[in-house]
Amino acid sequence: MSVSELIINGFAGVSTPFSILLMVVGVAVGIIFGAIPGLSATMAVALFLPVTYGMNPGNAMTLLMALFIGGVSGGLISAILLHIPGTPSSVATCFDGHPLAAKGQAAKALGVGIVFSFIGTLLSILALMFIAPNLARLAIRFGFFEYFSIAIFSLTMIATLSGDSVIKGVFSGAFGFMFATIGMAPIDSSRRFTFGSQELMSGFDILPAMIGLFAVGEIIAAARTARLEAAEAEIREPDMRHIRGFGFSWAEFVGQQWNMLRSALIGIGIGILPGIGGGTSNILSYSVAKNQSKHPELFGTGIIDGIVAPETANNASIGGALIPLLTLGIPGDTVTAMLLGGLMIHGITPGPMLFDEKPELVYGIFAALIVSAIIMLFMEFYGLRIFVKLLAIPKNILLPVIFCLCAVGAFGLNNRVFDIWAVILFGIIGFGFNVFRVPLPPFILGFILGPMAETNLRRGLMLSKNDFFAIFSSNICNFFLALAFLSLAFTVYRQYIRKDGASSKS
Amino acid sequence: MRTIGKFASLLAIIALAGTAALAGTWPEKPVEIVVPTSPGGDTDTNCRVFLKYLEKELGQSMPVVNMAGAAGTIGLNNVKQAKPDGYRALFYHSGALIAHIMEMMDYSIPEGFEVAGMPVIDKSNCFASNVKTPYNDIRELVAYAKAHPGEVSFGTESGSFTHLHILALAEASGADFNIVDAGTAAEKTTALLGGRIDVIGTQYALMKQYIDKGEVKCIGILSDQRLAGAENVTTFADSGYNLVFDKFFYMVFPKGTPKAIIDRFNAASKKVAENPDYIADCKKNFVNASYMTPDEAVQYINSQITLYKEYEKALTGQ
Repeated sequence: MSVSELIINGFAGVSTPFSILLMVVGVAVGIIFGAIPGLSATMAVALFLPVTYGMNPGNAMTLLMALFIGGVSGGLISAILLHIPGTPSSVATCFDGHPLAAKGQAAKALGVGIVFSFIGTLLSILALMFIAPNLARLAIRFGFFEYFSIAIFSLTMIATLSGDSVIKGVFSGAFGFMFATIGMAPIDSSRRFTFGSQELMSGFDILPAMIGLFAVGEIIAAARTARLEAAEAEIREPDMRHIRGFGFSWAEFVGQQWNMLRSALIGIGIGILPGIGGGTSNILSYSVAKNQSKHPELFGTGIIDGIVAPETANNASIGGALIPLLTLGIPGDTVTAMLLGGLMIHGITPGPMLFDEKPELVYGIFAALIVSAIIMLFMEFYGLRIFVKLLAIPKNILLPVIFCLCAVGAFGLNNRVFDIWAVILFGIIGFGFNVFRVPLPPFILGFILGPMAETNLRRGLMLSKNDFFAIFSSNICNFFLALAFLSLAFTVYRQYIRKDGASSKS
Repeated sequence: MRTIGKFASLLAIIALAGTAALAGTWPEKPVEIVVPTSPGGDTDTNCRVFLKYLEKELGQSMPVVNMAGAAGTIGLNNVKQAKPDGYRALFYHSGALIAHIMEMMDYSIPEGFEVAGMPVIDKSNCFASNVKTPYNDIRELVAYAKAHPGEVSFGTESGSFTHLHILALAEASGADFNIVDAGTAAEKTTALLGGRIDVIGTQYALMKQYIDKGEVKCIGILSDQRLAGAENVTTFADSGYNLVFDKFFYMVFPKGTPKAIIDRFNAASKKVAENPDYIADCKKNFVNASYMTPDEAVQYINSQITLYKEYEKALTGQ
């Protein structure tokens, strides 16, 4: 069968009423899981995995893909409306999405997020369909030192995310890094900062850390200001009567072309590399967009550039993550690991043979992804008018409900009460950061990248027999280390310029 | 005082009767099975396949509760502290015993638990190498490693089952390998395919498609016989190293769970192990359906602990 026939067959396969029903349900449940802080795409897939055992492999994958797409996209809703990221993939969406919503343009913020989520998904699926095997070959050339170099480069983004004080940003990043060292150390499994506690041995997971810092921290902050008059006018009621379509103009869309393309490339690139995913790509893409922008000072005030970057990138990581899974059988994150399990239970092992042996299944998955993305676009387009009503719910009712959902989500992560305590602990830290105006994003970046840098450095040194200079024998490493150096130099230079400007004014 | 005594004995009788009733009709509600790994791996898959058949025998659903973390400690701890009423059990594998020897885990099996069965044994543990490497079996690997000391990189996860395998081969042959922590099964495979690591310790099922595609070769099986479906791959014994390491998957209940429940569970697991559909499902995953009585399982586990302890020094690096 030719590729075009396979594509047509793929779409024919997913246009049965049952498949469409599965996708509608999958996307809807995914969006809900994504939008609720604490519940994530990972959990939606985990919950539905046993349900798929009774289906045929095609239908099973259709449902799981729909959940995946809905789950990654849904996070933007709470990020924009409540300043609480629904999933780790939408942390950066808060930065500009919420300020824009606070100006009374919630519908526009959501509209931008939805459309660029869709575009990010679509671009990454196209990459998956047409250049997957080549990309996958490239991805496996990344070894331990290469991962270490990427982590170092990404850590330099802390400077970009620091807001007005680099010192506070570095403090926040180091604090995140420090929390990530708690538990059993990579490789030698020595216990660090566990204080004899069994529960602390496995360390803190990213999910409780994120929902604690962002959601619970935000809830405590809201409780603190609840009795102040100012809090009432914090978000202006969105004007829905004059909103048409997605709430933004064609000219605005065209203006984002380059940002969109770059963010999609970052999303796909990060997604392909096993072990890094949407949680990193959205923050990275936001930072790069800010660095490359002609008006970096406007980031954080509610401009659409700051929504386009993370939302394109996090959805582009979906296709990216599926590339090594389908072409090499290597799962890059928890969701793809579960998809792998879902396929294996049907006796199908993804990998180099899959395209030869079961092309109809592969193209069925492609078709399911595209159709699910379209369903997501429509569902969120019509849902937009309902989502903004969230803002009409009094905060004293909404926030406690969200707090409960956070606790439920934390427990659902690993069926442990410990994770609920972790959420509260991180909530207090998040509130403290809030009070002292310390930025949170560097904390998350340090938390995610710290262990990645440590583990890969130590593994690389094992392989090179403790020869540190072996790191410079790889061109990929040299490239990312040079980028890291440039990024730092650029930051220092900009700080210097700004100080200079400030002092000459005074 | 007497009334209190009477009251206490009455309570004891009720409690005893309660346990007896519990055992007699067990299971009356779903039995939660803790798997101390994330979903998707071989432990999770083997467990779910087994439970699919066990549910039919016991007439109750048996939901899997994944509790990953700290080399299995989190899951083990949870089951150890659970009420011994037969409604929470653990499914795990040989890795826990090694983790205990390496002092990564505070608990050990079988102490502290009631062993109820041994439903799966995986005899497909093997060494796989990139197809470009010059050695095709273990004898040639050892010869090459002796000619090029420390140059052959071996990917494993520190403190895991495959770590034990390479230490055992290094000790038996005297060859010097560069043992590298390459992470989980997926990470090891990536490193092998990318040509960054020469040899990895893994399981045949995980390698099959890469072998079919001609990217990877399997150079030795660590079992007492060749693997069904891959008879051309030699065993370690064929190369002159009599190393047998089978990965086994057991089910345990918390200490103090009534014997009647354990027996009922074990009897059901026997029926499952005899079910041709279960045997076929296991074969598809290149593992073996198995059955042991609780006593046999305890004996088997203890014999394996003795075997692992031979390499205690090398494992702990002391």
